[in-house]
Amino acid sequence: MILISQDMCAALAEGVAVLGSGGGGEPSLERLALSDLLYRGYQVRMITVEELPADAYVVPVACMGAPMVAFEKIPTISQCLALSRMIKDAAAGRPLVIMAAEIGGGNGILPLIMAALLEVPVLDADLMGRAFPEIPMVAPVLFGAIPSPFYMVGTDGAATITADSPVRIEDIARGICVSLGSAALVATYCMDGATARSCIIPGTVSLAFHIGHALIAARIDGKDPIAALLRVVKGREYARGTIVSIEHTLDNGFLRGRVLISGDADTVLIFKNEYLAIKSAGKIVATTPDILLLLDEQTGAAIATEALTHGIRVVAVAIQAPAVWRTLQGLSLVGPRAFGIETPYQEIQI
Amino acid sequence: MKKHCIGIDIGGTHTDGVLIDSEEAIVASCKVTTTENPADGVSDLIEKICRPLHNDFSSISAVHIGTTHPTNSILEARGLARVGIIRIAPDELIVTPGASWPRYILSAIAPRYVTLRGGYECTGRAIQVVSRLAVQEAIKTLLDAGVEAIAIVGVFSPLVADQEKYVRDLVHAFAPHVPVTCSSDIGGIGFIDRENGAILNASLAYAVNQTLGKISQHIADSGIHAPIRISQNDGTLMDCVTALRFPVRMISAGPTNSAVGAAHLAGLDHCVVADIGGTSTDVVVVRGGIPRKSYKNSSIGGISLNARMPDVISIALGGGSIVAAGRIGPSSVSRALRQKSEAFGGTSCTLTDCAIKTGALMIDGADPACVKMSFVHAEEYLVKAVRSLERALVALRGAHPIPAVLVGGGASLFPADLFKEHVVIPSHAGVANAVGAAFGKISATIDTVVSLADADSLSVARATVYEKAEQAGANPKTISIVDEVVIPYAYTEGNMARVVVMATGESLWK
Repeated sequence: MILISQDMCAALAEGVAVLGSGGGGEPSLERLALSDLLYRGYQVRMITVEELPADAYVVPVACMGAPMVAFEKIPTISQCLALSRMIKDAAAGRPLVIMAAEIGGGNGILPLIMAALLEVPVLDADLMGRAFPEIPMVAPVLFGAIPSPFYMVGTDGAATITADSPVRIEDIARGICVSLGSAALVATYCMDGATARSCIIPGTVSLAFHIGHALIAARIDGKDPIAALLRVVKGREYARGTIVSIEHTLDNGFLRGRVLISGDADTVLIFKNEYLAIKSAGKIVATTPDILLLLDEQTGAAIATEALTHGIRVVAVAIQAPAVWRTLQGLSLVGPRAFGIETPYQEIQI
Repeated sequence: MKKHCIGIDIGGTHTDGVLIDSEEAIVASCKVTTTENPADGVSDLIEKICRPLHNDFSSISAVHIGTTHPTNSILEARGLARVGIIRIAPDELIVTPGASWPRYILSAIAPRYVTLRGGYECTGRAIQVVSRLAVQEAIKTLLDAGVEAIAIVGVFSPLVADQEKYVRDLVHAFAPHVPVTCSSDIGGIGFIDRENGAILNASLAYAVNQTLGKISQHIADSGIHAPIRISQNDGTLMDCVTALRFPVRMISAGPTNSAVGAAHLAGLDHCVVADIGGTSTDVVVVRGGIPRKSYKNSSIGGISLNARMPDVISIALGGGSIVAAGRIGPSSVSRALRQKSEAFGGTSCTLTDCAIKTGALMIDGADPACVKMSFVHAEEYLVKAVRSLERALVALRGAHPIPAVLVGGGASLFPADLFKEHVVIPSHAGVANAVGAAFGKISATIDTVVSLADADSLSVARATVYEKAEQAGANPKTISIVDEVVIPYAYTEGNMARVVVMATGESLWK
């Protein structure tokens, strides 16, 4: 068990942005909230998967909705408390442990905020190991879990959704989310500690911290942040250059497009919220589920697909996805074809 | 008869002034040291720059003033009012007002806050109606706690400002002497950054009121009876009444004015400008005669804001930067150059001393022999300074070369031949910011809700803003739309959207 400290907040925010693979939403608000809560005396206790009691009731949480709304309609304390009341019956007296449904982006920090407010531990793990756009794109689904019941809390209403298929849950939840003002706190894939141990992705909160810490330390020491990043994760650099063209369209709520980097060879990254593939000289060289990134060459800060800007110097990097995604089953759920990219997955050659 | 306009820039160290005539010629210019109370230096300055008019001030038809006074008040946490914040939100948010602000600014403002149930959804639907009783209680709680100004911040108020205005009117009725800021007047979507701006705006009310009041008084006492206008962040001018309501709109007027002035003096529409002061240098890119704005959120003194400000790189390098052991700055003798630097008999060696030693610069009363450093070393420091200036210029402008213009009190330190690329040091470079203030344009903005389904709605909005700009004193022949922001209401019928349109035109004082 460790206590999250004030000076870990900055590194966490950098790290979850990296694990967002270009998506997941900018974590600045969550970082601010966590740091504010710690300053006001709240505590965040984080336990490892090894320390997770078998009889604990593990609650993965996330914020769902439109990014523009999230910056304006900030979650309320009562909303967080209401979510814990909704799961009370299902928990049936078992000790609550909060965890991230998605480590990438702001949702990687939200569970720490909830844990502080609910005064329960947060688990050093998540369900994705990165960011993905859809509710069923989580590791427990590979082990037969479904996101039912699905709990949603808005500022002036709440809903519990049950359905037999993850896809139906997703459909219904999107509709309700709009009616709740396009911003809701959600909890789903709730499970006991013993089940959680076998189907979640362990260690991802500390991984985010280590990534952020490496980037910040390199920045202070004037070292290459990309090299520092690749010392703490398995991955490789594919290209360095300047962003010369960005095409994007809004497609059914998703930001879809491609970005061209001009360097030694032309490199293209294809994205749908997250970066999905890296193309070099016309050939696809890396794909989802590996964590594809554009980083600012100077600072190493991850550049989200919604924040792409012409003319900045960037480095394209791929980080190896958790092992569970690189299986046949995993690839059928989150591999390139699941996103309409007709190419086989290729292991990163390190 | 020729008409005249006075441009004044009140900086932290110097107050600069220019007198220009209707043919855009600079008739006189002057630089004085900024006084403890920034208004006091203004009378002295006006007397000096108006000498060519031989006491006949009837030809002066405008006074344009830029000031970094509000910026310095924030950075030094001086003269800030204690602010009470009224949040209009569904409930207590997980973030409190002023979270992550530098503690010294926070303790000066001592924010107290109350959350009222209310706010809007992104569709424009009210989450809850604000209760009159709750508002009255909130006002009483804040006033009892000793707040001197109030900031009101509602969820989605940039979309629908009604609840903020309702609360503001109740504050006016209940406590007419208390200055009030509505966040919807300050910024767009992004609750925390808009709240930050509203709190700072409220906290500046008294300091700015006093300073601008005194300046107006000094100008009237000098016998000048012309409209006074104040430079805002985008380089355009607002009237005094608006400036008093929205001091936060002045906080980046300094770099903006020097950039606009530099471009004007150099006769360039597209250039990169370095304003070299006593302690620091600001670098700005000018496109189409106005500073390029930042796409990232701006901040002041570590407080993030969502107002769009000029994209500025500041480096700790100026004429007063102390050089020692191969390093330049960041410490500076600042305004004490004539007391502390070696060439004037002091004990600190500054970049100015280096320039005096090499003969690049000559100042009355400065003796190159007093500078202990060798000629060779002095030149090395100057070259080193030029290289870091170049890095900042390139970092901001990008790989493609565009002309560089050096202005500010420190511009004369650097011989142009030290630079690898062509640089321009225009005449009157030392008072570029006052020139920028003088040539500021008149602007008008409307902020309204329209249906995009109605094809004429945007052109009606544009016509309205044209008219407003004309009323504000812009030359009708020069008015153009410079900014248009359309924020659609999500998931609603009729394609409703908030539309903000801004027009600018040249001041009619000529």
